[in-house]
Amino acid sequence: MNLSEYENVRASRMVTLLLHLQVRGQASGSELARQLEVSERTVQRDVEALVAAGVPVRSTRGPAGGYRLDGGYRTRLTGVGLDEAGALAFLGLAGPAEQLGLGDMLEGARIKVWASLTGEARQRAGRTAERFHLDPVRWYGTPEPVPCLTQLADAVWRDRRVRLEYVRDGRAATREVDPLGLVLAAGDWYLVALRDQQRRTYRVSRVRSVELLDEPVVRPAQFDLAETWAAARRELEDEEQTSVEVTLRVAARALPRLRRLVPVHGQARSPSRRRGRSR
Amino acid sequence: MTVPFDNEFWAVSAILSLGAAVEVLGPASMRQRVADEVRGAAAHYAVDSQGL
Repeated sequence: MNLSEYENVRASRMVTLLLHLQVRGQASGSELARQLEVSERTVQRDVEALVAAGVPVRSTRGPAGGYRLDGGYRTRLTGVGLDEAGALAFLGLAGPAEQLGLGDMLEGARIKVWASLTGEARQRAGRTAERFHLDPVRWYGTPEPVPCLTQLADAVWRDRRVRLEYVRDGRAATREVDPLGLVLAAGDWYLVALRDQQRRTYRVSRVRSVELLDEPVVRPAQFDLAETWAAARRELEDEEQTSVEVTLRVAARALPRLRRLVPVHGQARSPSRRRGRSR
Repeated sequence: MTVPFDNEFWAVSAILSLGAAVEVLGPASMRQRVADEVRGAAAHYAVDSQGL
């Protein structure tokens, strides 16, 4: 990378850092480093350069410390580049937004963003929309009914504890949880919440009722919904990836089908307890 | 017979697809998991079986 390229990369990174602080309000050095894929020292140098340029970035030390923009400073550096305009079509998850009761607002925002694009950028955005379409719902069957989704979204917005009636394995249970966020994964909605300070995920289609309680939710410092969901997903998948040997009693008529499903080699058969069964 | 599965999710799916023709004898955790799934599915039809 020559000096000019380096300066372009750095300038782009500093704008991203600035916009990130503007959107988030405050972010730690490690968060920014992860977002920008650089070291914390590089973040520190970029912040110093922004301060030298007159941008009021303040830093605070300590566990809850980080960087923030002072005095409600807002940059006007919101010009959308061509490549960014091309990516705008991927904001088009109108279905899930509709489920959350945000359909009209998303459409309003989409119209305003598109209206703000210059001719070429608007053309690029339009070309993407003509060529790519996102349908996050899996094949076969309609999306699961989620009658309590908007109530849960309301609780998430208001940061209020809820009492859920939740059905799992055919049994109903009541839980008081602190909702932190909602996640749409493979067409299904999940509530990420804290129960007794432990992270829990609940499939929204299994929630039968929601009662909004008065207790406020104290969101954990530095909570990141996407990271939390990714960790929950990894845990589940790791758990599911454990290979297992299962001892089965199989009716003779089902053996050919079982062999098609899994490689069954040289299995030892014990005397069947019932006629036509192998164990 | 003892059948190896690559992961538990696949094991449960395959076993359930064979319906009443298969019974899990062990391990106990897998037997419990399949039983829970079957009970959950049966609960959907409990009203039907009562003739309501």
